Amino acid sequence: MTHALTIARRDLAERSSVFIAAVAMAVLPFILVLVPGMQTFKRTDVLTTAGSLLSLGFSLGLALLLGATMIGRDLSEKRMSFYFSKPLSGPAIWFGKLIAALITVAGCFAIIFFPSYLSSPVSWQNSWNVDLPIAFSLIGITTLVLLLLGHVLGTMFRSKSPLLALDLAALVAAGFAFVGIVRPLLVGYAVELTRNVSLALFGATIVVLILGGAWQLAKGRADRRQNHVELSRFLWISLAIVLAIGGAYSAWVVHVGPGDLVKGDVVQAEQGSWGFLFGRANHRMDYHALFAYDLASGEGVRVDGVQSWFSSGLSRDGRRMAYLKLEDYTAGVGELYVMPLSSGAKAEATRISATRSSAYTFSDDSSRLAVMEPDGIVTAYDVASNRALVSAKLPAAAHNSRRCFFATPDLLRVYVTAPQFGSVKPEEHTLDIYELDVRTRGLQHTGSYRSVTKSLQMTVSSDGNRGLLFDGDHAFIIDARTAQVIAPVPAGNLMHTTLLADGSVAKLAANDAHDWTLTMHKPDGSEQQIAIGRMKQLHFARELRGGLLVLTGADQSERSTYVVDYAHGSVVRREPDLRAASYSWMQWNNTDPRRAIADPQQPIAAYDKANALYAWQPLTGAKKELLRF
Amino acid sequence: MNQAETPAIRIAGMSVRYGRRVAVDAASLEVPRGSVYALLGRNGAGKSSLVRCALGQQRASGGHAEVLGEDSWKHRTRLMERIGVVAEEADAPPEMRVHQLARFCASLYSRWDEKTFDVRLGRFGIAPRARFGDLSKGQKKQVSLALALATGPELIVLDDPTLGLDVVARKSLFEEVIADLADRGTTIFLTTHDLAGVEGIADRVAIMSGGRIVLDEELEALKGRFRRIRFAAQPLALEAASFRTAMVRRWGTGTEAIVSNYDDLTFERLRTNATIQSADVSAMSLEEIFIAVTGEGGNS
Repeated sequence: MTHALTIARRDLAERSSVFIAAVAMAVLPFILVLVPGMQTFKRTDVLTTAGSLLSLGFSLGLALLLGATMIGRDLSEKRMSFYFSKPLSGPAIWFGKLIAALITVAGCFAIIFFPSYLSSPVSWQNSWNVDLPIAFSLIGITTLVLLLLGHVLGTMFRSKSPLLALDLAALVAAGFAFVGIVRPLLVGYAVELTRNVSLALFGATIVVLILGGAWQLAKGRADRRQNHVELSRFLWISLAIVLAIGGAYSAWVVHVGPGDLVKGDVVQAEQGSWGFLFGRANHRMDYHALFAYDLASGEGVRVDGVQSWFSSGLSRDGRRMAYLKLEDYTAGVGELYVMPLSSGAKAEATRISATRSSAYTFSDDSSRLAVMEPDGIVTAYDVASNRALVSAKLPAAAHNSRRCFFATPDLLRVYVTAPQFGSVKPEEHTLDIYELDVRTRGLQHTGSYRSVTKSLQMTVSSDGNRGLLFDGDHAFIIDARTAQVIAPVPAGNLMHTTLLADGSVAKLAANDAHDWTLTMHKPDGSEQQIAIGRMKQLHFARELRGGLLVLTGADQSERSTYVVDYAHGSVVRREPDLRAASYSWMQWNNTDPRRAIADPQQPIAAYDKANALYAWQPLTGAKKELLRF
Repeated sequence: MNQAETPAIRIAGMSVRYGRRVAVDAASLEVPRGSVYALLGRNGAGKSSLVRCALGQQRASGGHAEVLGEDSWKHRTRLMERIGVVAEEADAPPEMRVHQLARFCASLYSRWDEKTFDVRLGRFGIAPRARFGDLSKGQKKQVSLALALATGPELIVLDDPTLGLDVVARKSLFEEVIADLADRGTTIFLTTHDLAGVEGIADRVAIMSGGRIVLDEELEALKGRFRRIRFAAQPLALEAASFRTAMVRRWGTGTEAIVSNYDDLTFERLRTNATIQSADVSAMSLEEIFIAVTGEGGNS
C-alpha cells in the first residue's frame, strides 16, 4: 500500500498542468456571463449550468484519457521497465496509478464545479433536480468506468496484436451472454430482479476490470504484448465465470416448478381440467412464472420465454393454449405458439407473427385461430396447417378496443369500441360489429351502437347470440350480431351482472349490512331473488351447465364459495373457507367477450385461508389440495 | 552451495520468442559473484531480451533465471532491493525532474544513499531541477546510473550503458565507476558494443549471436587461446598442426588465420615445419575476437 501511494504521489506530482487547466475551466463560466447576449438568461442559471457541463465534460474526458494513457502509454513507449526495475509489485504500480487518476479527475471536477455551484446552490438544484450525493455517486461511478474502459482499450489497441480480434469476439459473446441472462428474467416480469442481476453483473465487471489491471501488470510486467495477453486472459476468463454464475442463477430462477410459487392464481379453460397457473416464485423477487396446469393431476408444464399470462389464451374446449413469444422486445414483435393441453405436451411454433398489442382467440373447437392487430388487420388461421385462411382490414380508429370470437369455425365476429369518427365530443363512443367469413372471405359490417357516455362495456352470452351492454348508467340486452337493443335491464356493472344460459340476467347486489342477494331477471320479464349470505365482497366465479352458478366472496376474516341452483332459486352448497380463483370466470387475454359455461364435473381452482390451492368439485364439494403457496 | 558460491546470475536454457521470431534460443550462462561480466553481441542478437527476462521484467518463453540465488520471475520485487538497473533506453518518466526521481527512489530503497547520488550527479554536471525528458541521451544514462548506484546494489545490471555517452563519459564509466564498483565487490553484468572499454575491466565475457550464447569464458583465457597467425604456406599446415581456425584468409602463397586453440608449443611446431616460412603470431584484441566469432561466421 505504501508503494502504491508512492506511485500515486509521483503521478500526481507530474499532473500540475492538468490542475491548472481545470482552474482555467473554472473561470470560464464567470467569463461566459459577461458575454453579450447572455444577459437575457439568469446569471446564476448560466453560471451553474456552464459550471456543471464544463466540470462534467472535462472530468469524464479526462477520465477516459487518463485511463487510456496511465499504463498503455508507458508500455508502448517502453517506460514500464522504470517501475519494474524497482522493488515495486505489479499490483502496487496499478493501484498507485489508478488512485492518482481518480484523485486527478475528482480534483479537477471539484475545481471546476464548486465555484459556480457555490455561487447559487439553489439555482443548481432547480436546474438539475437531483441530490448532490446522488449526482456525485453517479459521476464517480461513470469516472471509474471510463478510466477502466480507457485502460482496457489503451492496453489492447496499443499492443497492436491480432489478439484484438479475439477480444472483439469475446466482447460480442459477453454481450450476447448478458442478454441471455437478463432476457428470461425480463420475460418473467422480474423488473426488480433484472435490475439487481444487472447491477451485480455490472459491479462484478468493475471488480474484474480493477483486478484485471493488477493481474496484467503482475504477469505481463514491462512487456507490452504480454500485458495485452494477460489482461485479455484475466478479463475474459473472469467475465466468463461471472456470466456463468449469472447464467446459472438466471437458469435457476427460470427453472421454477409449480411448488415454488409463493403467490399464484389460475385461469381455467371452459372445459377440461387444464388452465394457466401463474405467479411469483420463492426466493426470486418479482419473477413471475407461467405454467400450463392440470387441476386434476397437479401436473405443470412450464412455459418459457413468455411474458406471463398477458400473452396467453386458452381454447374454449380446453384442448389448446396459445401464447406469444416475443423475438424483438423493442418492437414487441414475436411468434405465436400453440401448445396442446395434455400431459408432457410440447409447444409448437406456428410461424404466425403477432405483436404485444395483438389480440387472439381460438374457435370453440380450437381448429381456428384469429389474430387482430392494433392497425385493424384481422386474420383467421387454420391451426393444423398454420395457414392464413382470410385476412381483412377493419376501418382504422385510434384508441379503439377490439374483441372477437368465432361464432362458428368459419365465422369470426369482431366488436370494435371506438371514439366516434369526426365527433367533436371525445366522450362519444361507438360499438361496431363485423363478421369475417372464412369461406367467402368477406368482411361484413353487421351492426353498430352509438353511445353518448364515456363508458361503453359489453359481454356476450355463452351461445354468442345476445350481448349485455353497459352504457354509462344504463344496461341493455342487445342482439350480439346487429347491436339492436332487445330490452333494457336494471343498471349494474360488469363485475356483478351477467347473462346466463337460459337468457336470464343475473345481478348481484348487497345492502348496507353486506347481505347479498342474487336477482334473476328472466326473459319473460319476471324476477326472482335468492338470498346468498353476508360478506364484504361477492362476485360471479362461473356458470355451470345445468342452471348452476358459482359465486365466490371474501371478508377480512372469512371466505365462502356458493353453488346456486338459479333454475330453482336455491343455494345448494356453501363451501366455507374456500375462495374460487380470481380469474376463473374468464379467459385472461380477454379477447373473447363471451361468458363461459363450464362442465359441472370440471374441478374449480379455489384457495383456502392459508392460501393453499385446491381442485374443488362444485357438485360434490370434494376438494383435493394441489399446492400450498 | 552457500551464498558466496551461488552465482549472482544463473540463466538456464532461456528462450524468448516474439511470435515466430526466436530472439533468445536456449541461452545459459552464469555470472560469478563479484565479477564484471560482459555480454557482447551485435544489434538484435537478443542481449536486451535476455537481460529483461533475467531481471523478471518479461516472462521468458522457456528456461529460467536465478538472480542472487532467487528465482527472478517469482521474487523480482524483493530482488530489486538488491539490484541496480540501467536500462538500454532511458525509461524514467520524462516529466519528472531529477531531484523528484531521486526522492521517488529514496522512498523505495532502504539502502538509498543520497550522498552517492548527489556526488555522482555533481560529477556528471547535471542540475537536480532539470526535467528528465529535457536531458540529452548521455545525461539520461548518467542520471539512470546515478540512481542505480545510490541504491547500494549487490548486483548492477547495465544494458548498453555507453549508448549515447561521449568519449570522456564512456572512459569515466569504465575506468572509474565500474572499476570502483568491482573493487568494492559489486557484481556487474553489462551488455555493450564498446568492446575496447570492456576489455580492460571484464573478468568474463559471453558473446551472443542469433539468440544463442556462442562463447562464455574468462576474458584472459579467451584472449590466450585466440591468436592471429601468418605464414607463407597453404592453410593445410594449420590442420597438420591441429589448430582450430576461426577465420582463414589466403593471399598468394601466404595464409593468415585466426586460431581459437592457440598454444606456444603447437605454434613452435608449426613454425619449425620445413614447408613453412616466416611464421609469426600476434595477440588479438577483444574486438577482433568478437568479429571473428560473430562477424565472419567463425567457429570457436
